[in-house]
Amino acid sequence: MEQEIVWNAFHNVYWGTQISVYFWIVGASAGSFVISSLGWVFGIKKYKPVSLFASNASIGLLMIVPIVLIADLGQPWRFFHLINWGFWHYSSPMAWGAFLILSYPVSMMVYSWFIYRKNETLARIIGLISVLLAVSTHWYTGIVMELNPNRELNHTAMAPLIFLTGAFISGIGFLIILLVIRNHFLEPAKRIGKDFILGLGKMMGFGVLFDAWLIYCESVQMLYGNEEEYTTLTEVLFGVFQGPYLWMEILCSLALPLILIFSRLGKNVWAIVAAAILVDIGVFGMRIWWVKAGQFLQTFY
Amino acid sequence: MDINRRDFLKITGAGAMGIALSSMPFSLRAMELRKWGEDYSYLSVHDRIPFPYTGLSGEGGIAFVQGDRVVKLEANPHHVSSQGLLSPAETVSYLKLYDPDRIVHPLKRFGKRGEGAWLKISWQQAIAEIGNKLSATLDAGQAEAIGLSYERDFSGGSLSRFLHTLGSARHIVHEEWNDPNRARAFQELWGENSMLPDVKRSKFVLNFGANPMETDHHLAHDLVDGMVENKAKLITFDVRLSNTAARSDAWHPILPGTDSAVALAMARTIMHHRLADYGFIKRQTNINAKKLAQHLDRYTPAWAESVSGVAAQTIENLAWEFARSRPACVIIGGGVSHHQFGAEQVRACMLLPIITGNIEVRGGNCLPRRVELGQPQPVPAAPPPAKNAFDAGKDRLAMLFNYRANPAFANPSPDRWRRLLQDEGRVGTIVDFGPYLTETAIFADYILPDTLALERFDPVASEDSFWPWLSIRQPVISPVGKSRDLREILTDIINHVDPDGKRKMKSYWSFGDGEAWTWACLEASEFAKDSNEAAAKLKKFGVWPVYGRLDPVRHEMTSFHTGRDLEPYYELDRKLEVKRSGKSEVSWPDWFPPTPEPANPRDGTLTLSVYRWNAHHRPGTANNKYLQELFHSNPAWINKATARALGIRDGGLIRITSSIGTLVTKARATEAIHPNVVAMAQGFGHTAGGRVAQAKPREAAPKGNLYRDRDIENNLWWDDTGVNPCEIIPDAHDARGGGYAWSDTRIKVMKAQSGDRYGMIIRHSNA
Amino acid sequence: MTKVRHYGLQNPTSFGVKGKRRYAMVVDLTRCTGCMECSLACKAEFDTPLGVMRTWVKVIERGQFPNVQRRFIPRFCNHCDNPPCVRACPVQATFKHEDGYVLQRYNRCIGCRTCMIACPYNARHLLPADRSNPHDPTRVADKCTFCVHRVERGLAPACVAACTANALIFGDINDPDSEVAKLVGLFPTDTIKKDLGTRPQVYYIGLEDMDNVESYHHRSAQMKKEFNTFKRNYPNSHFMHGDMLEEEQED
Repeated sequence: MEQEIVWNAFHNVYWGTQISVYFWIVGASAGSFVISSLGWVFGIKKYKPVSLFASNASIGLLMIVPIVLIADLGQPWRFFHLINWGFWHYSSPMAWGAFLILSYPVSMMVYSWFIYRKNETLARIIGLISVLLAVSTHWYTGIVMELNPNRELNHTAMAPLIFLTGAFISGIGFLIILLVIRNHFLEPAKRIGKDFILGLGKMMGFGVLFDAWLIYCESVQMLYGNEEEYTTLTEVLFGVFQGPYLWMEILCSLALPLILIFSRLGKNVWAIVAAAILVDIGVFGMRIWWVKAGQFLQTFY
Repeated sequence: MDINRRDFLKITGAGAMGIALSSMPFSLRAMELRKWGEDYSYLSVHDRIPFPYTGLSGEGGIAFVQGDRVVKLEANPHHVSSQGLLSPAETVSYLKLYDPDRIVHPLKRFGKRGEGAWLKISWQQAIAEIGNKLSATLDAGQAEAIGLSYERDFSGGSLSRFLHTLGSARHIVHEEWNDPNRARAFQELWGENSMLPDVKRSKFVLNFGANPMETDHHLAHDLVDGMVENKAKLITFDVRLSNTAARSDAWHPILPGTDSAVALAMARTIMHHRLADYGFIKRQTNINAKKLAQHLDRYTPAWAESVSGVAAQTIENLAWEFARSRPACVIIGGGVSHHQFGAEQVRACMLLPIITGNIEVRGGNCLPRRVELGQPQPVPAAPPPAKNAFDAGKDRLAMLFNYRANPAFANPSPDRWRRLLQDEGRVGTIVDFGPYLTETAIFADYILPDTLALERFDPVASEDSFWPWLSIRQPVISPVGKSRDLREILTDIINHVDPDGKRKMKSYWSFGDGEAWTWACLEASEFAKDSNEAAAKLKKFGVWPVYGRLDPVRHEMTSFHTGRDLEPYYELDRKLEVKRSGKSEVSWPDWFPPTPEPANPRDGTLTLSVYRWNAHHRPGTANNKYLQELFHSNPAWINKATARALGIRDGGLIRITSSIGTLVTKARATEAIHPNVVAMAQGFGHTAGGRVAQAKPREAAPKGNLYRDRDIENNLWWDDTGVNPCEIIPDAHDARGGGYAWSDTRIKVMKAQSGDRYGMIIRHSNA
Repeated sequence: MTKVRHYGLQNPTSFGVKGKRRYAMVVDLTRCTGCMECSLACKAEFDTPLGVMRTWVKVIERGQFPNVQRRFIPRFCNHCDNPPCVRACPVQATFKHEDGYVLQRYNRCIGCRTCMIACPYNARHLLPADRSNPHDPTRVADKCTFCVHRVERGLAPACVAACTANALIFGDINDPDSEVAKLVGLFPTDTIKKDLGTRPQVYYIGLEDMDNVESYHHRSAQMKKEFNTFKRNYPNSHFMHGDMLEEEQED
């Protein structure tokens, strides 16, 4: 039937770019920390040389997080309410998140310290805790978005996994870029070898493959889903959010990197670096559409 | 649903409630929440003190004052016609007091007229200068060239007294508050200016072009009561789907200006099938039923269908239903009267209740219960009225006093007014009473801000209530800034013109201040003459008499004694003169075709119809931030099929060309309008009158203002304020009623051309 | 009666519990005339800034000429018995009162807007930084309170007292003698999005189905343009800057 909304109140998309930026930073930090932990926690020798650097890069990234998050609050000076035990609300994922975001950098710093002191045992124990915290920090961001039954796009158990995979690949990408830049400032002997970069690239490639599979699952569910899911996919993601979804996520972070990494170009370091840059851009796009498109449909409700 | 809410409550609740109310403590009572009389701040514990007041439209309310500020308005439960409600515009009208654009200091223009350069001056200086100019005008024998432009005299007659004192009768009354065409029709019918439809107790309501649900919320309240509780049927004829049409049982889209064809065909059907109330016709009217039947014979439903587009079968069915439903009534609105033959059309529509005997009966069309206010003695004699109505295109004035009217914006073809006001040769001095720098006030030479509704005394009398009342508008706060009471300003001017009484003017202005004036007016009213309690009650409750108690659940005035609903008293004390010969001759209600030639949606030849939108149903709302937030723009409604034929997209720009000009606005392609009509809301497209009205919140405040509102400055988000449709409406009148033919504009609609900007107005040279 | 879910520190619902009060609202859409008095009375009561609304009226047109309908749906916070906003708030700034209200503590709220993401009804908003009265709260979440400050003193909420058509009815639904209890008992009432399990306590008589997608699909061109203007100009966006402008067709 012909129908038209003639008058309604307007509502904002309440979580915007700043939150997307925060999701990206936390993700890249967690991803790069996982790489760091491969050497010292999981004992893969190959990764030991970059552990300290990756961990420090991860801490550096995380330092930006509080600034972004607190500036985004309506009342920035009240951020300490989040760590006030009397105010703490256990059913809110945000309340847990606040503690994770605070404890995670601290434990990483301790971990970095023990790597620096070459204390294998303690580094392993603290590292393990940090890995758990890193994973949870990112897991919770997925949960925050997921537990809103009215936001059909986000309301899926796949959410944390998609977030985590994105975190993993963007973290590796970020690390690759940093390592290549770092090589420029090091004397040739201390430089990270080509094989190492290529290995990281392969690892990122498999992550991208997994991510593509998750996105496919999610999209198929939305395609065959209820009206709201279908509209979200066809009109919001392919329409309004075409840029972040189709061009940034699907093209930049899935299609192009896969070609770059698994084709013959994959033997070239610069191709891997290009793939890393693309992945980082694409994952940022994913953060944008994930945060905003989920709220978008309801702004006019 | 067979049983309705109110019945249900009556059956189950009323008995038990009577006992409960009297015996149980408050907290245990059901339906315990009170609705009026108290108010609290949601943040602080400050006391809010209630004061009864009366709004400009005559609505009785209670103002809550916290500190020295009015913080809230609500209905006055003692007021018999309040029904516990205020209209939306009245609810937020207190914002006007503290409006950052309100002028609260006398201003004098310097530089050229209309340039917008103002100087703050003292009251003494303003009154002396205006008084000197008035004296000069009077000395030159030009008293008749002193004009007074206003919408309505809210002060109980002091404006007219001022004009008459000066020896002029040049009243220039504008139409935003009035409908002269309709008033004329009723005047001819029964000697009163209006009609009171008893919709609450009616069974069948025929609505010709009225829209109470957007423009008269008290009538709408009754109408809803009638529809829901009394199971009345509401049938609406309107060119667009107004809110009233939307809530009707049926909406019959009709060609503009053809309501009377339908009414006449219905009357014919009633007479033809002998459904009329012949006893009533014989007793209470001067109609000869046979002759009327003969007269109506040519207006067959088939003919009406060809004229109005309403199916003949529908007309016939409705005629049967109207005649068979008792009681039934008609309501008549601007859709009927805002035409070249508006007065005639209103008369034709009124034929229906007359021949079916639904006049002055329970649920029918009733005469207004009017209360006349008196005047303090002595009253200046009114000079003989001017021969012709004022013509802004030709006439000249020595001085013009403009009281709250905005003809340079709101009248058809406002450009004529702008040219008149701009020209210092044609209008010598312009004095405006504020409170905003409107499109008219920007041409003023002096602005003398007078007080607003919550700061002043005025006598008010009922106009459209079944229970006559008197009330006072009383100040609840002291005037903001330097604004002064109107009566004091006028008295000072007169005293300056006539300091020693030589001109014989002073004696008319010795009544004192605004409060003294108000009491004098009330005491001189026949209605309150013998009552000792009136004054005390008026002060305490704001209204006199207090007829009963307002039931908070049903919003119904109940008697103090019986507890039952008040019932109006119906008595028809005069004979209705539908046809009259002699000096003031009136012929049979007849059909007059609307002047514009037939429309053709295919080539874009349509009719422009104007209406008033909800929340902006009366003037003075343009600078109210809350009302503007709800409705700030007026896209032109156009039927989807028409739009498709003309290649117009929903939301796209269109060009509307009339005989006097062209405007470019946005189209709103909708199903809710007749294909031959384009409808635009009046009161939008301001180019002055405050920063909210123009959606320019960050512009500098006007000179002479007092307050700031950071909310407006920072949060006002819209930038589209609409386009003023009056710019292309030619200045055509109903010859009989004297009012404008608002909705008879033949227009040509097309897609916007290249170079057209939104809001563009091109005036044709012949205008 | 189905069991109501509980999360976090929200009070157990008093709905249907004898001896306790549970305030609820009934909206009689057969009476509503769409005058928007409820929105204005609410704005006046709370001095609500421009751009946000605690109470608003949604207007829908449907049908084809000449069979066209226009429907008005006054919208409020539903004061759910299982409020998603309460369980989402990280600092317990929003809570469920024993009498049924869902309320907001302004001085505790940090403005993280999680509750707004959680609310399926868009009933919450963030107050802008600038208010008419500088002493009013700014930059915290706000919502309809059912006028708790009035109800606790025995007064009906502002919108109910002001409604020009007597279409809003408010009262204690646990009290079988109250008007709301009788109306809900007698008439077929509906609530908005009851499938979400939020147990809304604003009951509509004569409500037709409405959901996000419908609302999204059927926006008129005028509404789209207005919405874009809102997103462009409303100052909240400077720290939310979240929204996407939709395509605007060129003329």
